[in-house]
Amino acid sequence: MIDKTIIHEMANWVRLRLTPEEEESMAKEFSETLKWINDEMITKELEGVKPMPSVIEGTIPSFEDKVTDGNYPETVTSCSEHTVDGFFTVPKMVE
Amino acid sequence: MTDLTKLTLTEALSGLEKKEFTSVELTQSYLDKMKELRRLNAFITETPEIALQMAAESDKRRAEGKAGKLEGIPMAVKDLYCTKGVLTTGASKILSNFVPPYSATTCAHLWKEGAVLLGKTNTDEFAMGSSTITSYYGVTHNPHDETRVPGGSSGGSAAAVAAHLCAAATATETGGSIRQPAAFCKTAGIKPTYGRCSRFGILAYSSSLDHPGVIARTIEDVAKVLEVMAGHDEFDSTSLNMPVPEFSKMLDKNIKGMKIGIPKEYTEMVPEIWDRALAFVKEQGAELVEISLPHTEQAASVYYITTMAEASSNLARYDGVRFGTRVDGKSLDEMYMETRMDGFGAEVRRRLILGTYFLSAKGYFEYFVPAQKMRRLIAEDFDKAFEKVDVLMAPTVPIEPFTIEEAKCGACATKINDTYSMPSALAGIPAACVPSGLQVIAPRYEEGLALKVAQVLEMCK
Repeated sequence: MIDKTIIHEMANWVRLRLTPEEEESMAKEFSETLKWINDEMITKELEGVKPMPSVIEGTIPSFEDKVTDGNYPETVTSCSEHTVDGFFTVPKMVE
Repeated sequence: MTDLTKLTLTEALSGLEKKEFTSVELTQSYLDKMKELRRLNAFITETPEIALQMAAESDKRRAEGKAGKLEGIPMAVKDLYCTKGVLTTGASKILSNFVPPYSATTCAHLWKEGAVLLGKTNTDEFAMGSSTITSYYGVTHNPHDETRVPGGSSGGSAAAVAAHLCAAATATETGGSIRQPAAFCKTAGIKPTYGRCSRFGILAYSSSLDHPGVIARTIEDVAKVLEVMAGHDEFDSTSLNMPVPEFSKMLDKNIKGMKIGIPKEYTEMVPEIWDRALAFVKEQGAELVEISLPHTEQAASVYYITTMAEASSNLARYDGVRFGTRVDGKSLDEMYMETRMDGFGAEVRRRLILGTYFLSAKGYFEYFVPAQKMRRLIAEDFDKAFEKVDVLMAPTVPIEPFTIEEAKCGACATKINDTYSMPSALAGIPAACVPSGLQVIAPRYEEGLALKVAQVLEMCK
């Protein structure tokens, strides 16, 4: 059972905000969904089965840890409207 | 001159080769049609100047004998693919100002082989939906009945292809987002093997399930575009490092002696053509075999958990700092929250919140891990089926396109829409679909086989 406190916490984790009414309604909807999942998917058949988080099994290729690209701050920061001298800017955090 | 937009991609290539018309003329025909049918809202961004410039350059290359495989072909690109110097929104307000400094690898492949960019097509916001109703830029209308949705998330691409606003379009699928809109708009398409087309430069929704693919008017056209888009990419760690077959040369219309499996779980609701199609493939010499995919019903749960969990992680990057819109706040945290509250639509916000639960300590072990176990059982269902048959044939979707009003009130859930596509998406195996609403699912890496059988189905009227 999911209550609105859990929903509030989850929303905060992903930096989103809900009204108390929305929290209530989402908690109800989510509880029903989890019940459906429990009924449909969580079975004894899963015992001993290896999880498959990706269909690409085996080792993901890795690269040598060295710089092969870069040195174009203007391009990298070109997608932001908040930059100064090749840096991204954020609100002042320390007075 | 006849209406050049009526040509298939293959016919257009032939006309260009024979110098019956130029790419500029072909491109202008599509641009005129796009203007005429703008009410469909198939495009978020139209790029007429870029298109005509690319077409002129293409005509020059062709005159110099340097024609690529798609030389001069006007295409649309789903607005989830980054296109250098062209607005790329993901149909979200939060990226309403995002002009990427690079192109997706798949797009780079298309431009290298001479394709022309007509514009960026509408989609559900970050591909989260089945109707384009969640797009910040408004819903796309189905060209066959404008009161109905085109499907989604690649609804703009499917509508653009169906309305002859482009010769072909790129698309993406996590659970049915290529095949469902292709079926709703009576077009052809393919969701290739996971990893066949690079995900680099495509806005991520659910990384273990995101499949770039194609929508076009015929299977032959689909094959021609796929063989250009596909290929290994060192910038995508899950990209397949293997040669790309020439899929278009595998279409010999011969299925004699092939064993075609019919999954019994997929036949509860079938399109009108179903019985004729079964008889037709038998007439063509194929043997039909009933197959069971016993974990079909569980696919919706696995899909729900996996996509939401991966989305909550992937979309953390939209924080108003490096790209996208920003809403100021008194603190960094407040700026993050106000930016995301303003930039994301209601459906995206809902999925991110619920997805976070599946990555919490409790949700991860109670739901995420069991979902990945069930995913293996679903994939194994297909492995077992392909021990008995060469391919599977099934309806693409169990329903007809719903109305825009029905979509707005949430009357048609993804669970129903994608019943026949989610399992093969979770298994990462290829599936090609034809305009009559049928699909062919093949073993991993066997896109050629899926396309070959699909082309035979395309002949059944």
